[in-house]
This record gives sequence, structure tokens and C-alpha cells, in this order.
Amino acid sequence: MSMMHASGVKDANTVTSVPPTANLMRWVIAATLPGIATMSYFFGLGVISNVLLASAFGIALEAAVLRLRKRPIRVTLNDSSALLTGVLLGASLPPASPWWLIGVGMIAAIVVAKQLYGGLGHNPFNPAMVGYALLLVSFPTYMTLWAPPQELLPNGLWAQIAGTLPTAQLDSLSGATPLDAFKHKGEAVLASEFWATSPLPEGTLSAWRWVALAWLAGGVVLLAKRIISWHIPVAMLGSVLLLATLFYLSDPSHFASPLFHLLTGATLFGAFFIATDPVSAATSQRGKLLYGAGIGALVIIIRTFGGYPDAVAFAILLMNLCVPLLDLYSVPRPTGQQKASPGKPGEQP
Amino acid sequence: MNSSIDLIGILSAVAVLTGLGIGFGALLGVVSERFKREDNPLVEQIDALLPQTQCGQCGYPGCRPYAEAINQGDALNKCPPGGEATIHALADLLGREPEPLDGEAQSEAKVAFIREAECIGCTKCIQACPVDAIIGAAKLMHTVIEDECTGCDLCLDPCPVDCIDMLPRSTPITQWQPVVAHSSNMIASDRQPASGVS
Amino acid sequence: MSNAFDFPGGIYPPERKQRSNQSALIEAPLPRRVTLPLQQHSGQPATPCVAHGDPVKVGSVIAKREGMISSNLHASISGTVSEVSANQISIDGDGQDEWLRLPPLAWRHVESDALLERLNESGIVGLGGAGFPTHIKARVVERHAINTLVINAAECEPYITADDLTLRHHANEVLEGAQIVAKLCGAQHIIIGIEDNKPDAIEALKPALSNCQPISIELKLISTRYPSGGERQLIKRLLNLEVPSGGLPADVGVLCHNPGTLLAILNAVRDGQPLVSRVVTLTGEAITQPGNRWVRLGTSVRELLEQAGLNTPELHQVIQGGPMMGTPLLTLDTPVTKLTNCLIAATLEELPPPPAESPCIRCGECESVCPVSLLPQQLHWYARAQDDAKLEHYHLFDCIECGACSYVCPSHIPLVVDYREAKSRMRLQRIEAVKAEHAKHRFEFRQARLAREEAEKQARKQARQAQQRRPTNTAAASGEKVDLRGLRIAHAAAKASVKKAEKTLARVAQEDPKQSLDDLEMQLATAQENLKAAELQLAQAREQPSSEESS
Repeated sequence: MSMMHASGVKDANTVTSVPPTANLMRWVIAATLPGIATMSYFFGLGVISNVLLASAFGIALEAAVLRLRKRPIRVTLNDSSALLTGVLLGASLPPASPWWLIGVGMIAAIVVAKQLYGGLGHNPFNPAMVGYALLLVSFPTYMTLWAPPQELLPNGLWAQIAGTLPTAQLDSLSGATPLDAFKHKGEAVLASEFWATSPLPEGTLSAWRWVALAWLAGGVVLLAKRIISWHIPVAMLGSVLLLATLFYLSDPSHFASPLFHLLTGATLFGAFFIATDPVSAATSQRGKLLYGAGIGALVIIIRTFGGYPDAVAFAILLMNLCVPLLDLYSVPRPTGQQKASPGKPGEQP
Repeated sequence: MNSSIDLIGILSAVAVLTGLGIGFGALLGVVSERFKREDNPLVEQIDALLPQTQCGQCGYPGCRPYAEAINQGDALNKCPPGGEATIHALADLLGREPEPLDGEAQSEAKVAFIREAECIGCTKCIQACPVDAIIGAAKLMHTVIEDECTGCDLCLDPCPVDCIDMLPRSTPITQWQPVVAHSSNMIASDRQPASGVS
Repeated sequence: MSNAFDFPGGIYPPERKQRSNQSALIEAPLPRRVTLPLQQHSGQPATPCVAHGDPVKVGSVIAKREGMISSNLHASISGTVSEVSANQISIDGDGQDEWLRLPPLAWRHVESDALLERLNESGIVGLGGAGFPTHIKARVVERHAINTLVINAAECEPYITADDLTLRHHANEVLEGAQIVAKLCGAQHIIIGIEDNKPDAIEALKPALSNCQPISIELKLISTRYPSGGERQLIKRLLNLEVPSGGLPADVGVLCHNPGTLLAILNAVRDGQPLVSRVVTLTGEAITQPGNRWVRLGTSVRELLEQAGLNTPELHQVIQGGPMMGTPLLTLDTPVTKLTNCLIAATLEELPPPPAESPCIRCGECESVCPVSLLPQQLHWYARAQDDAKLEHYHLFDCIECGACSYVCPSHIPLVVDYREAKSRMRLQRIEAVKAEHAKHRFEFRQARLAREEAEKQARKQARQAQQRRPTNTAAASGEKVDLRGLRIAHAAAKASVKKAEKTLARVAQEDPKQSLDDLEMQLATAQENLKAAELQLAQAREQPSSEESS
């Protein structure tokens, strides 16, 4: 009757298995710290205040909904999943976003996308991405204003609490991430010309590259601790590289290089932290590979041909839609059965 | 000039669509006639979900007539021996809303038992049993075959000396069912509080 | 992707075998009293053949097998029968240990029938834990050709070392027992599969292998992984054969046996000694003298553990079997049976109770360790939802209940409990469905019988009226047209039904002669009644003077 459990035995030899759920979530939060620290270094304390605000909103909202649903609050909050959603959404938003923006995003993420579906384990869509997508579509101006790499002045933080944009800095804010700038360069402009004009403020590109590498470091830690399995990140990044390379080789003057796609935007962040959310991802190993590959392909396609500069959120949400289908078609063949197809009713008990 | 051209355009569009509609409708009609099934498999499927107690509590003389009635549109919730499980299964099959059971739910499976000391050999119960589970003859002892009895209660009323009891069916230990009690109410609705509310 | 000579998934729980495999196999002290349950095997319980007060010797038959799948039961100590109840027989020992043995058999020269009869008489069942009567298992050769005998010495569950110690001390005898079974079932190859965490047993086996006659035995080492000891998993690892779902290893020409069973077979055949004792591993932190013992069946668990130095305040639970698939005992006042391969006297720190379960986060760990390549996660959702169609879709009944999935679950969900509940419920539903179908056929037969009786009554009435030359007739008087054509069609249809029912009955009877045909015979009888009624109605309608051919 299974009196032994992997987490209860200290002398389990060789391969360790996945830690208990609460520890799992906390490890993921811990692995975001390099990325958040690097982002704060380049883009100011607004990143940290975002994360803190989002986490606070997350916990408060989840507690409120649990009270309404008459579920045990402390036990549920203990699994740290609301905290994790807050951290992920906070890190995705532009630094020092207005407090109400973060609030709306967290309502969409925690209340609608998670609790209304039944809580942890029941949500078909990634909650952080639902929040992000809602904000991106509803408040495009706020969502596309990124400060250049510099210390964010305390005024910026005050603006966050007041709920307005830091207007004094509006001039100095170019409002562009590298992806954003590349998307809006115009069809006629060749890529080589575009980069020659130094369209972004000094140091933006390298700042984003450092941030991407910090996310990668966190991701590698998660892989080493077996918090996540390699299938989704490898499939997603592989597919991004493959498609980007194909496009780039076909016309280098109009398409961005694969490395550009990999190291800017939320590619690495998404690959290791968002797409690997087990609840909304495919479950079987084959399914995970297809899921990751699909996300990667969609990211490149939407970035190249779609209207938004960064596509990770939408790609993930679109593949979340496909997960039931992927699960259905990646059922492994049980040992002793001829095929993976359905068992006949009245099988031998 | 323009308006007449427009008019022709509108008329031709309407004509094309109407023609298509008539064409496809005729095709569907012909196909449905040509491939029509004589027997009604849905009734078979409904009948397969009913518990076959043949007790008549639904108001029909047996399960098959009730299955046919359900097919005609009758309510799903008239079968107490089937209980909630049958209502849900029928609702799933037919795509209708399940309703609460119209009647008392049966607590456990029962079988009839004749107290032989009091039996007068009148054969009324034998005539009443829908599955011929009572053996006996006129002026001779009647007894219920436990394995064949479905617990439908139809023999209770006809007995003039009221010598039939309904006793719980004996289940062999090989059919013991574990008690289902889950600590986290996962698929429950929010109408009932979860265990361990803080 | 299935690997050759390996099964998918599996886990590496801590082995914890050091505690009990350091000391030699010794005999437990003779118990003063034993309690022997009548059911220590799969199938039907045995029926007592002794009464209160009867004297018995070690090896006397005290209960006889009942039905096809059943096993005899023998006294394990000499003394007097003190209690015979519906479930068990107790014997008070006299301390003399007098034996009643059957005559020894020289198995190499004896007919297979005599060997089978000896197995039948000796009450031997599979000692690996499932308890299937060995003489029935040996008769599988009547239906399937067997070419390989596998000795299952994997012993993959943590804590258990019974087979390890048996092989260290009795390697030659175990292999000779294998030769007997090979002779009985016609196997030409014998393979012994053993995990590499038993170096002493492997060393003991090597010299014994060279003495083997007549079939040479191959020793195959496999790397330690749970659950390699499951027979399907072992057959895949050793022979790269997949036992079909719902089938037996015999379907791929293989027979599997536990080393303890083979030793018992040799003792029964060579020495005439029925199954009265077995090797039991006593382990766990709550006893001070762990190790393996030869224990007489029926010994009280409490007595056995106390003799091994039971530390009662530290004791948290006693598990019969291993920590993955065993059961915690509700009381220590229970006997050791043929199925008791191990007793773990565990403290709280050793096997802590699991924390409360959290919701499933769909991580997929369970799927990656399942040795049968099932989707435990889906089975879990559908078991909770009681969605039987989906459970069958995902092959619930292929689950071997090994517990690897619940071992790794991060949310501590007791998955195997879910599957056992679902399987129990579905088995019951299948039984109920068969019953309902049967009731339906009885109802239909009754309707047909009443219809026929009614038709006969009408026919007699009509004959009476015709005799009296009454011009009236029933149907025409009421103004109805008698539908002759309709009755002819009904008659033809009834004839066809009877033919169809006869054919089905004949076909099923031929395919499986031992199957119960009651239900089909009833359907045939129903069709015949309907035919009779149709004939009568047709005959009656034909005699009507005013009947019309309806167009």
C-alpha cells in the first residue's frame, strides 16, 4: 500500500525524484532570483517593486477567493503557487508599472485563470500569461514603455504608487525593447542598415543579453535539481533556433538572426519558467516535446509576421489550447497491449 | 445604370444561395431516407443502462417499455433501483439534464424471502414475479431463488398472508468494496465546504 | 520507444536490506499454539476435515481443497486440534514435533501424474506472496506449451531478503526443485533472474549451477531497480517478451516460480514433507534481532516478533510484505500464513506517515516511472470522477499496483488506493451488469411463455367453438381484420430467432465447453416459446372463415 515515499526517505540512493509540490514552487521562485537581480541592476528597483506588489496582490487575492470558496486558506497558500504567479508576472511587466495595472493583471491571473477553474491543478491556461496577455491587449501604452538601462530614480517608484506614468522621464524613455524596435523599423529598411543607425539607447542590447543569460542560469539550476524536465525547454529553444535559422538564411536582410531571437525578449524566461508550468503543459514526454516545439514555432511566426513584438505569452496560451489534443494523441503503448488505442470495454479484470 | 446592375447582383446572389440550400436539403433528405435504420438502437442503449429489475416503479410494465418511453421524451428520473448513477448515465447518453430522483432512493440491494411456516401455497406471488424467481406450485411450498431475485417488491402485495420479507442481499467477501473517503475534495463543487476548513 | 530486454520506468527506493541479510537463516522456536486460516491461497477456502479434540502430527491434512482453484492445509505442529471455526483451525502443541510424512518420490523416474498428485496433496502455493496453488499452475501445460521456466529471484522490494537467504543456504535444492517443475511442464530452458544486490546468493548459486541435471540453468544478473520482480517486468528483462494484457506468461511460453516455492516442491516430492513452514524476513528498526527465520505456519506474529526483540514503545506499525505493496497489520495477534514473506516492525522515523495530499499539478513524474507505460495521472483524475469508460480507455486493469507512481508523486497522492477502489467498483459493476442482463432474459422468457399460454388458450377456445359449429369467431365479431400477412411475417421472424439462438449456443458451447450456458439456453427457450405462440396464432388465423389477405 505504498508506505514509502521518495520525500520521506533520507537514504534514497542514486536518482532523486521531484521534491514535494510546495518545495517545487519555492525552488522555481529561487531560480528566478538571478534574472530579477540582473534586471534590477540594469533597469532599476522598479523590477523589484513590481515583483513585491504582484506577489502581495497574488496572496491577498487568493486568500480572498479561498475564503469565498470555503476552502482551507493557510494550507493552500502554503503551496506558494500564488506567490510564484506573482513573481513571474511581476518580472514580465515593465519596471515600476502602475499599481492598478499590476492589480488588474493579478486579478486576471489568480482569480479568473486559476481559482475560478478550481484552483491549483485545474487551470487549463497559464495564469501569469493570461494576466500578461490581458494587460498587453487592454493597456498597450503602459505595457510597451520600457526605460533604458539606467538607475531608475526614486520618482519612478513614487509614480508607481500614484498610479501614473513617470511623465518626467517620458522623454528619456525610448519605449523600446530590442524586439519592439526591430518590429517597427519598417519594411523598407534592411536589417543591416537598421542596426547601423543605433536605434536603441546605449547598452540596451547588451543589457537584455545579460538578463537572458541570467534566466538561463536559473533554468539550468532547475534542470539540475530535477524541478523541471528537459523536454519542454529543449524542444522550445530548438524549435526557435530552427525556425529562426531557416528564416534568417532565406533573407538575412529582413529577418533577425537566431541569436537575436534567443537572447532578446522572453524566450529564455518563457522556456524555463513559464512554458514548464506543469499544470497547463502537456503531461506525457512525447506530448511535452510537441508542446515545446509548438511554442517555439509560434513564437518565431508571431514575431515575424504578427502584430506584436514579443510573442511568448500568446504562443504559450495558444499551445495551452492544444494540450488536451496533445495528451490525447501522445498516449504511450502500455506493455502487453498491441497499440496505444483505447481499451475495449469489458477487458479482463 | 448602377442600380440595375446592383439589382441583378442581389438577385443572382439570392438565387444562388437558395438553389444551394434546396440542393443540399434535397440531398440530405434523400440520404436520410436511403440510409434509415429500421430498428432503433437508441432504445437498446437506454435499456442497457436500466437495472432490469422489472419492478414497475417507473409506471411502466418492465424496463423495456420505460426505455421506449424515455426515447419518446419521458423523464429520466423515474427509476429508484437505478438511482442517481442511472439518471446520470442516461443524461450523458441522451444529452439531457439530469434531474433528482423522483421517488425514494434504495438504500441497499434486497431480496425477497418467504417465511415458509406461513406460506399457504396460493401461487399469487409466483404469478407476480417478473423474472420467475419463485419456485413452487399450487398447494405446495413456495420459495424464492435468491440469485434470481432482483428485489423488485412486486411479490409483497399479492401475498394474502403477508409472509414475504425483504432482506438485505448477502454479498460474498470477494465483492467487498473499500470505503471511499478522500482527504481533499477535488472534484466537489463549492457548494459543500472542503474538509479541514481553517 | 520500448527498450530491448528492459521495461520502462521503475524507481530506486532505498534497499534497506542490510538490516536482515547479515545473519544466517535459522529456525524460529517451535510455537506452542498455531492458528491456521482456511484461506491462505487464491481461490476457494479449504474445508476442514478434522474436529475439535483430534490429535494431529506435523503434516497431517486438516483441511481439504474445495473446487478447482484451492489448496490443502496441513498441521504445522503436532498436538491436538483446539478449535475449528468457519475461517480457521487452531492446534495446541504437545512439544513433541512428530511428523507424518508421505513416501519419498524419486522424481527423475516417476510419472508426471504422480508428481502432480504429490503437489496437489502437499498444499503448496506460490510463496512469493500471491499464493496461487502450484499444482494448478503446473497444469497450465495442458493448454499452453511452455519452453522456459524462469526462477524469479529478483526480490526487488526494499527490506525483503527471504529469497536471498534461501538461495544462500539451499541453492542446490532450489535448482533441483526447478528441474522437477521443468519436467512437469516440459520446459527446455531454465533461467534464474537475480538482482545484483545479492552477491552472496550469486556466489552460492554458481557451484550449484554446474551440478544441474538434466536441463542446464542459465544465471542472468539484472541491475537493481524496482519493480524488476514483477513477473511481466522480469520476463521482459530476461527474455525480451511481452506478456499480453489480460493474459498469462504461459501465453508466451514462460512459467515463473519463486525460489521458496521450488524449495517447497522439492521437500514435498523428495522428502514427502507438505508445506508446513516457510522462510520469513523479520526486519525493521523496532526489533533488535532482525534476520530470516524458518517459521511454522500459524505462528503468532506477536510471539515471533517478541522473540526477535520487539521494542513495543518504539513500534509504529508492522507491515506484512514489503513497504511498496505490503499491508499494515491491524493487530499483532494474527498468524503467519503461506503468504507472509516478510514482517517489517517499523518505527515512526523509519517509515513516516505521508503528509496530506495536495492537488495534482500534472507534473508527469508518475508517468515516467510506470513500468507498464500507463498514464497514472489520467487514471487518477478519472478514478476520482468515477468515469469508468475513460478508465477502461486508459487500461486501468493493466496496472500491477506496484506503487512506483505514488512513491514519486510530489503532491503525495495515494494513487494506488485510487486504482484499487476503482477496480473494485468496476468489477462489481460488471458482475451487476451480467446479473441485470440475466434478469432481463428471464423476464423476456416469462413474457414469451405467457404469450404462448395465451395463444394456446385461444386455440383451444377456437377448437371448442368450431366443434360446436358456432358461426361466430372472435376477431371478426369485433370487426377487426385478421392480418394474416403480418402473422406470417411474425412466424418467419420467430423461426429465424430460434435458428439464431441455436447457432449461438452451439458456437459458444464448442469454443468453451466449461462455460456456463444457462443464459444462452434461456434465450433459446424464449425464442422457442415465441415461435410456438406465433405458430398458434397463425394456425388460428388461417381457420377464420372471414380472414382476409391484407394487401
